[in-house]
Amino acid sequence: MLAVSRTSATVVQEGLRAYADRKIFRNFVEEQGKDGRIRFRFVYLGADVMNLEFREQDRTLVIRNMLPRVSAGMYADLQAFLQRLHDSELPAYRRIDRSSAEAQFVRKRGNVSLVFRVKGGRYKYAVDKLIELASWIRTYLQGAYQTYLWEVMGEPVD
Amino acid sequence: MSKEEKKAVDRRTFIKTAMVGTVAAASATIVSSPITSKAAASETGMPDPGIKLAPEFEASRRSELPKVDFPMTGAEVFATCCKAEGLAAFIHCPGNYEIQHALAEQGIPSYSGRHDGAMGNACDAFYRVSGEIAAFNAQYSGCIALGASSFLIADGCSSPILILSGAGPTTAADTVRDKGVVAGGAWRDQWMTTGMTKWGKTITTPARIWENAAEAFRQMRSGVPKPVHLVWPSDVCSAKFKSASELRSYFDKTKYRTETQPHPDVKAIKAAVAMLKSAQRPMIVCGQGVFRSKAWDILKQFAEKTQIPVTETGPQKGKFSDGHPLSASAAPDCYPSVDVVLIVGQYKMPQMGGWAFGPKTRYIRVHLNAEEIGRDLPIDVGIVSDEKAALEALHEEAPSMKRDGWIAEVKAAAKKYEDDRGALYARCLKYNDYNAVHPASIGKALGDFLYNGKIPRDQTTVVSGGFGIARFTRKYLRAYRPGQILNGPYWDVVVGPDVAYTVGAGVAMELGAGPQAAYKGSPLVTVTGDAGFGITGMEIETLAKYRIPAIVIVYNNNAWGTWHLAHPPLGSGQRERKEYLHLFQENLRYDKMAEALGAYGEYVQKAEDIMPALERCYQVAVNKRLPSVINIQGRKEFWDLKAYPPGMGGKVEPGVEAYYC
Repeated sequence: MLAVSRTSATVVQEGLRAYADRKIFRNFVEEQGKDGRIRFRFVYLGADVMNLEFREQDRTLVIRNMLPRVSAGMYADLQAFLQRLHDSELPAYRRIDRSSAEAQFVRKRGNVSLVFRVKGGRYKYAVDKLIELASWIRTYLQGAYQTYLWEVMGEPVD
Repeated sequence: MSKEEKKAVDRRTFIKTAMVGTVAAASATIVSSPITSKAAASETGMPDPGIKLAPEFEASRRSELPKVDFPMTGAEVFATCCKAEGLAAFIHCPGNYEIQHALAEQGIPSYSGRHDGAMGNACDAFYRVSGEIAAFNAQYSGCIALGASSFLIADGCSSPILILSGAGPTTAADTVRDKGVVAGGAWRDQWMTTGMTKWGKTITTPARIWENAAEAFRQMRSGVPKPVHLVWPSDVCSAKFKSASELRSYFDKTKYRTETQPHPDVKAIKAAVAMLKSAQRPMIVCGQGVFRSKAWDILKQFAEKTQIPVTETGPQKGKFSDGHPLSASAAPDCYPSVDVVLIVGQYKMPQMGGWAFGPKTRYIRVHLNAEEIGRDLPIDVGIVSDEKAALEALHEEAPSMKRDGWIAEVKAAAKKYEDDRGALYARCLKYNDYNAVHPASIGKALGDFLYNGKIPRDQTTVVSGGFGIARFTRKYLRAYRPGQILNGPYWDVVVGPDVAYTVGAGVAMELGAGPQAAYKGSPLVTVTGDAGFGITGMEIETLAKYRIPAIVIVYNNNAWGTWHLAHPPLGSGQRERKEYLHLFQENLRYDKMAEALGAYGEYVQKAEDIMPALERCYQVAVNKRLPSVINIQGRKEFWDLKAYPPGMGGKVEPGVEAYYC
């Protein structure tokens, strides 16, 4: 275990390790980076390694290049999907509470990263919601962008 | 079609007509196909003999069974064991003749088709809709190789098939003949099926025939079912037995296997009930084990007592009625809300992300075998038990529960699914054109025909197959009783077997096997694509020969379902070398092929003609007891997401990824 103080970083680490302990994540690895950054690598949904970075100074959790080769149209759909998840009329277990965290997609050179900004020190909430959100995104893609999963994410066609 | 044939088909009419049809068949009436080759007759000036059953066919089928008793051959000893075990059907191609004939002469309902692989699929299908075991038979190696794909699929679907194949004499073992694949010494056959069977045996000691047969049935009827394989050297088949005393084992089945099932640990049941009590939004995932153990009644009682919604997966549907208020199979939007899942009888598990349940969801898993619990998805409570026994114990232990808020959410999700389906249909309606029927229109028409018309909604068994077309028809297909839908591409998404599945499901309907008893003789409907039809379409002849009244819908879009992954942007004028590999000839007439094989054919080129074609085919099924093919002309470009959104569409539901696992 890395030497860290009982800080937001500890909360994030413990939160993620809990998923690894439950067998939700496989091949779980964490590495201390510069400037208080911690990188986590694990296999979660499908076979690909997910790279999650905690930036303590920015109070953000980032899944870098979560979705490669995303077209402009698909990016717009993804943003609309994410926007709907912040709707306060959704039950708490199906939405992202804006007062606790805010999610956004960032697209660079066609690759989309998921950035999760933590509010009010609610790091445990943010970790749980981010992991849940990754699952929701996958379900959304299975419905709306199955071809993308086949062609870009390498999922078997049959 | 005559006025008489057009009379309304209500249930009473159907039953009456079905009985007439059965009597007609029993009296060996030879019914000519509706198709006669008029062109050929006019060209030659000779009378057209038409397609008809050989006069020997029905006469042979209805002839008296010979009395089989000692002295017996090895094949007859084996057939006697199969009869005593209640082997429900024998679906095969000719071969391994002593065994083949011995089984037929025991009165085991026997059917022979065109392709060994297709017959393996038919045996699998027979089990999937009836829960009863059928035997497959092949001559030897080459034929077993043809059947291999079907055994692999049956293994994935946990369908037991009694695979039988012939071989050269035991004296040929380790000789040059033994090396030949096709020649008489086919001793490698059992090795070929290893890995896709639960157990196999090349019978080398004639005195152990009964013992080996007993082992085969013990394997198939215990634990998780799978195919088993018995290889029959020719001298073993023809061995002579003057009396039972010459057999090392010749006992009643109660002496070599048990009907008792593993029962659950009380502590595990208490832990599961505690978890379900504390759950806010629980769900039951009901897999093939519920069908295997015939646990549908106790499942319903348990779900009602605890108010837990149920979603289905597995190679067949109807274990929990889609018409039940607690059915969540067509409510996928609620799956991410689920906090506890009770998985009952799901023999093959998905990886994380295969199901839409979230990362915080906790899992209770009921499985027959301890070694399977905890594979893939994590577990919080494991229950090693027969599915029925576990549900009985859970029902006994659990208090009545109320979950009004959760049930309302499930209902809202079901309504959303229906609304989305309606919107999809409306969106795709404009794509319809002459000679280009969009699959959304096929799904809608089929749903209306089966569930909103004159036919009782629980009557028609459906073989739900195809690849692209399945993404639209499955949205409309519903199961209201056990075994009403055969989920074609379950586990191994092989699109070819659909017509072969129809043979097996049709045999189950004809015999009224298992839960199909109340629907004996009813017509059935199959959905397939042109790729699938190309693989097992020849079995239309088998359907016609046995007068199995199946309506086979072929979505004919002139291409493999993979075309959409291999073509350049539409309208770009570009061409790519890979594209042509995914194409068929266009506008192929599968309906005429069906006619040429003794079935009835319809060619549909406009969406509004789907429903009338279905109605005509249903009349043919009821009145003539003949199969039909409705060849619906589509357009491959409909799978292009940009030109015709949503293209092939998304994940196949209903059910928790029931299409795949």
